[in-house]
Amino acid sequence: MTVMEKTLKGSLLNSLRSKKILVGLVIVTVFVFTGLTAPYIAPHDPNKQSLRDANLPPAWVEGGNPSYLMGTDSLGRDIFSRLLHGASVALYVAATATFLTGVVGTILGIAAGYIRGKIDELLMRVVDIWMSFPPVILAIALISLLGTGINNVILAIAVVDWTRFTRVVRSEVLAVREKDFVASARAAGFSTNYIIWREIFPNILPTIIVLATLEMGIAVSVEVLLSFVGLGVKPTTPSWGTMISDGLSYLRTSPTMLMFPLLTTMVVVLSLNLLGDGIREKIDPKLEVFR
Amino acid sequence: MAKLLKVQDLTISFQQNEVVKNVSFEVERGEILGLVGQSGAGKSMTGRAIIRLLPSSAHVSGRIIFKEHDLLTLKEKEMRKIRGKEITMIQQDPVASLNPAFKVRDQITDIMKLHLKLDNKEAVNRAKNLLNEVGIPNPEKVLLKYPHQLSGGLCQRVAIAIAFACNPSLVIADEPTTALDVITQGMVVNLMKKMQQQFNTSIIFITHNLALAANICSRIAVMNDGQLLETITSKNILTESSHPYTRILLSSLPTLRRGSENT
Repeated sequence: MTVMEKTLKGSLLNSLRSKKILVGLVIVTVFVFTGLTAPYIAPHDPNKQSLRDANLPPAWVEGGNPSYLMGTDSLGRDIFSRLLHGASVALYVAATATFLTGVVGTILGIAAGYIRGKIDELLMRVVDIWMSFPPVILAIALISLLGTGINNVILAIAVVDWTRFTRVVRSEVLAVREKDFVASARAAGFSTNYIIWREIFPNILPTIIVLATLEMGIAVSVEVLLSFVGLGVKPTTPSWGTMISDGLSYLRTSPTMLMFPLLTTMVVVLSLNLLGDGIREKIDPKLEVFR
Repeated sequence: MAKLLKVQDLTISFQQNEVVKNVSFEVERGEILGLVGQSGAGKSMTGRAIIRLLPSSAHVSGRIIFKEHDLLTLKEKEMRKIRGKEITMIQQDPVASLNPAFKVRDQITDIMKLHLKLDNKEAVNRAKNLLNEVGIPNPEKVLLKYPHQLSGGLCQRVAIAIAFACNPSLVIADEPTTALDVITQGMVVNLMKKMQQQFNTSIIFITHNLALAANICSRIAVMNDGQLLETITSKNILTESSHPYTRILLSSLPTLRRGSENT
């Protein structure tokens, strides 16, 4: 059975029976919803400083202020509001970086797998070279070249990670292009264009969806990491990475400043990975035996 | 009858390895020609050479004259106009030869839109008629199904409908019954015979089953080890066949006679 058939057979309801998909999907939905609506649901302006209220503990701790649910940071900014706005930033980076990486990686992967020959050889050697660099070092080097800023973070992720898509898509295309239905389509006189987009692409789409979900998790953590070392978004933009690095200096006096953004990042990245993993288990026939 | 296809001295080699050697045969209009032989005899390679779907590493020489064209000299773009419209192919595994990602309707109408320039409504109507022709009782339902929801026999009927969708002059059936059970085999063979008579199409019927070929084909070409040994009229296969290999093929047919395995 091909990947596509597995996908079509596994109805939506059926896939919710997988705990990984269920948990992942719920948390990711909350993340996406928060990211989209942060400006409307955040109780405070994320950048509004009020030094009188600096370093407040969470509301439920003694000395906390009920209007600051998770307390405030060293400049008196509301941590909860900043977390919500940070979700916007993380979502924006994850979505656009994944889209860019996915499009570039998929097109190159299809080119390598379908055309074969010298293009395949060349692309695969470039991929090998690319993958021999540690990804984070490569990203940091790129940012120092491009300068900081949210769009450069996205660009850096795409430039570093396109190889993940290219490799997997290529191998999928290699398998699908030998299938009987592709031969049928060629025997029916369809053009190469038709064969790639109607015969091959739909049959590798499930794999691309899995890759994209996992890539979103990577994009979120890379953005947090780059912002943490000061190479990510501009300092005024509320990002989980800058919040973690701000909180680091106050670890002894108010550990919650660091804990909340760190936990949020962890949970979001973990649930994106759970979701991707769950979908993969659903559609990968080879893994069926072990469940 | 006029000759539809003339294959002359067809030789196919991979590197130094010749898999088809100097094969020549002719197909007349409205005729079913059987191409029979054991696995590896070069039957499928010959079939695929006619529709030019061999891997690019294959080296093909000789002439394949279809109507007035020499197919081996045509450009890929000209060949695409012949494939699907003039010459089509039916493959061995019916389920695998349909795209799992699309409904039967899309797969059957796409080819008509491509070659006959039909609009969507005309194509769907024609698809319904075709599915009726191939003996599918409720075409509307089947059109909305995905291939994996259909049985092997139904898929092969759909594949036959697709192969006959644009009134081709030649259908290359590459072991279309091998993956099916015996009863379904019989139905598919009768169906192909019926379609062939109705559309006056020629069929090259590739199979390793000599009995089946004798049943459906007017003439049978026997191949072994890349060579075409003899072409005989299937009516006279028992009396006329002179080549020892054909005799071996004939004697290897299983019969229901008790104790035949001992003789």
